Amino acid sequence: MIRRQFVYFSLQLKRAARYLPFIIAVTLVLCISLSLALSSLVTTDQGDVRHKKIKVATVGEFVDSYFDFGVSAIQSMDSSRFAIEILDMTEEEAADALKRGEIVGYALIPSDFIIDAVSGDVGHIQFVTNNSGVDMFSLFKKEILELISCLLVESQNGVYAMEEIVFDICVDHSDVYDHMTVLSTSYVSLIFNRANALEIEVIGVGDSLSFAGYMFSGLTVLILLLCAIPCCPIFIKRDMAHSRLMNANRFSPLRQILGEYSAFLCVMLINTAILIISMTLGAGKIFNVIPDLAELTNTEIILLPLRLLPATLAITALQFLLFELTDSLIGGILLQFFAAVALAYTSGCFYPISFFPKAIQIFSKFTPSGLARAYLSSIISGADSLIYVISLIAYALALLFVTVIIRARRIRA
Amino acid sequence: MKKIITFFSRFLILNKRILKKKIFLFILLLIPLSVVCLAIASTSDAGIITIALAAEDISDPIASEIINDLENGDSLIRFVVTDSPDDAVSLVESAEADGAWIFPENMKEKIAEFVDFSSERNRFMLIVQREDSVLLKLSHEKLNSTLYPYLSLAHCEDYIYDNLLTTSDISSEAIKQYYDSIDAEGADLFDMVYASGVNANDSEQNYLLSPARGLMAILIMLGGLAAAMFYTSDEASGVFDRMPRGRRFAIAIEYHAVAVFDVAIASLAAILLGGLSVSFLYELAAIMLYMIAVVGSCMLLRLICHSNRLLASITPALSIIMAVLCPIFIAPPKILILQYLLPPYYYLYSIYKPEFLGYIAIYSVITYAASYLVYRLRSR
Amino acid sequence: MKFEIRSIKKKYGKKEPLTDASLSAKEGQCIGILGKNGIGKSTLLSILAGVQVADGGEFLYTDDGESFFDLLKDRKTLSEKVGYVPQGTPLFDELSARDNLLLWYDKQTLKNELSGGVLDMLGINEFLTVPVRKMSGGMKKRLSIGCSMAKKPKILLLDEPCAALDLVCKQSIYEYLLTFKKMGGTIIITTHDESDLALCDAVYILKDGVLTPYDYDGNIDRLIGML
Repeated sequence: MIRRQFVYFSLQLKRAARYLPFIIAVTLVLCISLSLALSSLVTTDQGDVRHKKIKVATVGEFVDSYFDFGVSAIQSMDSSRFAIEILDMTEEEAADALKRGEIVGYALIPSDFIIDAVSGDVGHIQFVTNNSGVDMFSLFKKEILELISCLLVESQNGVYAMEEIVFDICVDHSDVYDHMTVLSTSYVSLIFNRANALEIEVIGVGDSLSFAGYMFSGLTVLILLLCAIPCCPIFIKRDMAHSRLMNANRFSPLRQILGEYSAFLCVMLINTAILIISMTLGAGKIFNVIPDLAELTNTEIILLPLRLLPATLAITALQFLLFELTDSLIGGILLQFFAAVALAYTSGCFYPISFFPKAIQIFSKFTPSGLARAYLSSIISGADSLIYVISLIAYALALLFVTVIIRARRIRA
Repeated sequence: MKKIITFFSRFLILNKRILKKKIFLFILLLIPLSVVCLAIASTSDAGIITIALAAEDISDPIASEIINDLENGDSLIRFVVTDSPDDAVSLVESAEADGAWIFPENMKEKIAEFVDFSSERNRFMLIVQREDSVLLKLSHEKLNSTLYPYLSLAHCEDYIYDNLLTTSDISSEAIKQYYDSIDAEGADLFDMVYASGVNANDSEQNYLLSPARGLMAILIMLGGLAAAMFYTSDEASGVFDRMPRGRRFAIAIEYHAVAVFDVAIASLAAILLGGLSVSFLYELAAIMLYMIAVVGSCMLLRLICHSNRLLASITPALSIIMAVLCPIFIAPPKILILQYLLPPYYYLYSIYKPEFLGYIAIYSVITYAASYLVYRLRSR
Repeated sequence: MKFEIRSIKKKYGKKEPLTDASLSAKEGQCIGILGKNGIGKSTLLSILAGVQVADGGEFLYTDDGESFFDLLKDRKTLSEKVGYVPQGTPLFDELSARDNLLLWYDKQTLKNELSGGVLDMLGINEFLTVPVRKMSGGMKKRLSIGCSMAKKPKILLLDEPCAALDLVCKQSIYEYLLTFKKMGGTIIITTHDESDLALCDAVYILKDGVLTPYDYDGNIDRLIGML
């Protein structure tokens, strides 16, 4: 019995091993892609591009106006290391520049805007933009435009309020416009110095993970989830005749699943080892983009795939269950991808889990992918991980149990 | 005409075959369902970062007004009100919050001190945060836009009392009334409009949903790759042996088109139901063109790879490459030579840049021509 | 050795392919089962092989001719006594003949059978290292038979063993089956092939869920009329 179990496992491993060179090559490509993605995310966040400018254009004539002061003030906005550069363009030039991606948007200022503003009628300015929806400006543009509105409008409120007060209460109105000019200038100074109102204290991440470390763990889990797809042609059973024959010869569904799953697990373990070690060495030691990884010793890095075993068990058990649910290659591949993406997304592998509503955050704590991501994060940050180990192993066993039941039903069907 | 009818009847038969697979049908139903669920989830309390709010003196009117406005406002930032500054800092230390904004007591006095030119700028707002990240820096602008009206009013008042009038000439409340009367309609200066002419304020989309279209674009592509594997398996088992060689290219197109079409229709339904659509006809045109491009590119991949093993192996790498190089999660790095090879790149940009519809068409022509060339070479 | 199949029943929803299938045989016999397509022949064989479960009936077996036991209730003995060659060829396409055989034979037994044993008789040595996906239909069928012989069964169930095989291949399979019979084995085959009937010592027709013995005299037209 044991001999036969081992023979079955080795035959399955032999089948899967034929795909291993491809899987490893693909894993290396994934590592490069992941590095690209990670470095893109991290350098954006860490502000390596120190003077990254968001370029906007203004279209319209405004000369000698209080608005001009506001625009000049905005020109030097730098509190977030994202400076907004304002360019003067014609509408045609601005539209072309927007299409080419040279500017993020342009403001169409009506010719009578200043006249209306002077008379207290602050109108609206159309701000034309694209929506790629994926970079920092796109996400925060509403907030940034709100700030620009606020700075300009509130400053003008102050200036024109002062004007009205002078006209209503002061006897001598002769120097009211001088006062307005001085006040406008001082508003510019206030805008320049508004960041001085904030006392910022950075306490550090402590035992928690940095943003870069978090995203590393998330993207690693995502790749693990996707790595089952190349194995679909091997492990999706389109015909149960062989399984039925083995079952008739007292090779039960449990033993069949154990043999097949073990082979799949071996392939995935090799894959995971290559992925984890190369990514950790690259991101942590060589390129040093993730400080949390830089703190790991080489021995810890080499042992990392072993430490990740509970997560690998749970994820591969889930993937194996998905293999068992289908008898079609198209359905199998789409199911693997869909499940990978859906679980990865709601487990905080694409966006930090804190981005999501509480309900999804709670849900992610109960998914194998969410647990795996949290477990890898805890390994990297050195936090306590025993609860994750237990949960992941329990998940793996439960999923395998379900897989055996499904196999038994398919054999009987 | 007869050929067209034959094409469509074969298309329907192939579709019937694929739709009989329960798991495929299940996935098609799951696509719009999951987007709708995400759309519903995105309306609940969520934020890109979490900021804990606390006031040293909870009865301070300015602090409590600002805290109330922040908590109840619509923002990408999730605000959590705490009972005390210590609680707020604890949330940051335990990573439950990314930062904490602590409002001091006597806000009015602190603001007045700050705007007073005669004194140094006094930092009065305490911000405690875990990291010095871009998101948190952008969040400071949110705080600035909340504080600035008070700073502006205080500055105006300060100027008037320093240069023009005294408190007996005009009270602070009266100055506030004048100030508030200038812009009774609110402080929104900008109306955001997309280049396509759509009013951005109407079609504003939640950040949680923003990658949905891109992910569905990848799923459609995967449908095409899976169809390519299906075709290869059937070809190996001799399904096409009875068909004339000259017609096999057309049959291959149908094979790929069936799976891609089904996934595309499910994705279109998801886009419409999830509120992601810019306009129905435009979405339909874009997704149909994208479908054609995907069929062409998957056919070319199949002819180049020529084995299910290779096709299955490249699928995850291709998925990640598309996720990185197409505008799905991040503003993609410019590696145009690779990006031009990926159908989702054209499709995702075409939603807001109509000229990309033309580029999809050109891409399709190129991939079909290349596929046909490789097919003819292999047939020899 | 002899066995008796008594009143095997099988129902799928409203369909009842087997209502009262019975036959008996002894060692060295070859039983042919004929019937129209879809009548239930493969179902009967798969029940006797233990692949499917019958809704009723017995598969009584005896070595000494006196004490019978029901193989359907003793799966361990069933798997030892009965070898089954299904209609398709359930093999691992990616693996070679040797690898597929290793699933059923231990290494030493495999070696022995390949040199002068049943596998040698089937000619499997000629294509031992060939991957299944590259094999012809005849090779696959011979390999499938070889896999079923691992436990040296006394009863061999073959579901259309020579369908779509060339004459040379058929001949080699017939020769093997004759040898198996001579060695005391009992064969049950389902077939549509006239040349397979020449092997058979007794023929049964499966119709309306019941097995009826038929005296085949070579008259095909009469046989067709009975089906």
